[in-house]
Amino acid sequence: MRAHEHLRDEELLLLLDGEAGAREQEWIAHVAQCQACGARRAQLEQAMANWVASRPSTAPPAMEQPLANLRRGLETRSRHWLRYAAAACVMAAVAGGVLWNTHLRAPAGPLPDARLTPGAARALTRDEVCGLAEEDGERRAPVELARRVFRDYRIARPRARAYELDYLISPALGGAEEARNLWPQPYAEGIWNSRVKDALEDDLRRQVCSGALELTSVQAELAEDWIATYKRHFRSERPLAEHRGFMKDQAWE
Amino acid sequence: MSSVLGSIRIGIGVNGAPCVREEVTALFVELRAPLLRYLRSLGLREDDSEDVAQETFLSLYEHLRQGKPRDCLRGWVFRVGHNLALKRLMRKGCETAEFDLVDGGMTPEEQADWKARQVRMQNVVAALPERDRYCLLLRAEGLRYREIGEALEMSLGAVAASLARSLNKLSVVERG
Ligand SMILES: [Zn+2]
Ligand SMILES: [Zn+2]
Repeated sequence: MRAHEHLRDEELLLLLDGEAGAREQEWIAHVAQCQACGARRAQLEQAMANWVASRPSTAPPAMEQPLANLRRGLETRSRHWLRYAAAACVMAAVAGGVLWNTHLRAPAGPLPDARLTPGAARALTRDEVCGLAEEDGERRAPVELARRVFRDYRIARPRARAYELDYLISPALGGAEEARNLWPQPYAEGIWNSRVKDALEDDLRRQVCSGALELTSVQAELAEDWIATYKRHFRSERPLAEHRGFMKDQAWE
Repeated sequence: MSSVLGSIRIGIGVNGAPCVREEVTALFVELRAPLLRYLRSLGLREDDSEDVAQETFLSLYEHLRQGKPRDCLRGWVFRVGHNLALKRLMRKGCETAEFDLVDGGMTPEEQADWKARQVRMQNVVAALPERDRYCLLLRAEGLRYREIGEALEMSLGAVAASLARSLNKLSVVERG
C-alpha cells in the first residue's frame, strides 16, 4: 500500500474533483495529517482557480435568434420522427387524446396525492428484490394503466406537455405496477423532480441489498414522503448537485 | 451501474416528443455559451462556431430520440462539438482567436502587468500538446473531469494527469 507515500499531483486533483473513488477516505486521511500534501493540494487548487479566472469572460452572445433556429430545426426533425417512428408515438397520441378533454385541475406535483397514490409493494423478500433481473426492474406501465392514472389525477392538456408517470415505490425496490403506486410528475420541473428521486432509489437499493437498510422500512419511507426520505438519507435540505442532472430512465414519448 | 433499474418514466406528448425537444432546448440554453467559447478557443470562427453549436444540439436530439445513453450529456455535447469543429478546421483552416484582454478596474500599470501575464499564459497554452490543451480549455468551461473524459474519450486518470502537467507549466508563468 501507498499509505505512507505522498499523493501524486494527479491524485490530489482527482480528490479535488470528487473522483478519488474507493481510495477517497484513505487519501483524505493522508492529506489531513501530511503537511506537504496539504500544502500541495492548496497550490494546485489555486493554480486551477488562476487558470479558470484568466479566461476571457466575454458576455454570452445573444440567444434569441440561435434558439429560434434550433427550435425550427427540432420541429423539422420531430416531423421526420413522427412519420417514421414507432407505435410509441401512436400510443402517446391515444393517451393524449383521452387526456385532452378531462377537467382542468392543478397538475400533480413532486409528491403524489396520498388518496390516489398511497404506494403499493409486491410481496417480495429482500433477496428476491436484489435478485431482480434488469428487465424486471424496468417496468413500463401499460397504456391502459397510464390513462387511468392521468384520468384519476384529472390532468387536462390544453397544450402539448410532458409528464412522467413515476412509481412511488420503484419496481427495483419491490414497488407494484398498480394505479395506487403511480402518479404523474411534471418532467424535470422543480428541484424535486424524478431524476433526483431516481438517484435516491438507486442508493436505497444498494443499501438494501448490502444489508444496511431494511426493505420494508425503505418502502414505507418512500410511500410516506420520498422528499423527506431524501433529506434524511443524504442529510441535505436540497438535492445534491450531482443528483440534479441525474439522468437514468429513458423518456417514453 | 445498470441503466434500467429504478422507476420508469413515461413522457406523454402528442406533438412528437415535446419532452425530448424541451430537454434539448434547455441544455442548449445552459451550454451554448461555454460551448461557443470552447469552439472559439479551438480556432473556429464565430459564425462557424454558431453553426457547430446548432449541429451539435440537433445531433443531441437524434441521440436522445434513439434512446442512447444519457448519463453524461454535458460531456457528450462537448465531444460532438469538438469533433465537428476539428472537421471544419481541417476544411477551412483556423483563425487565431483574439480575446479582449483588458479587464476593468485596474491602473494602467496593473493592466500592463496583467496583459503581459495573459500573453505568457496563452503562449504556454498554445505550446501544450493537443490533448493537454483540450483538457485545460474544457476545464476552464467548468466541465468536471468525468465530463472532460467523456468529451475527449480519455480515462479519469488520464484527464487528471494531463491537467497536472499543464498546471505545472502554467505555474512557472505565474511565478515569472
Ligand atoms: Zn503526503
Ligand atoms: Zn423515477
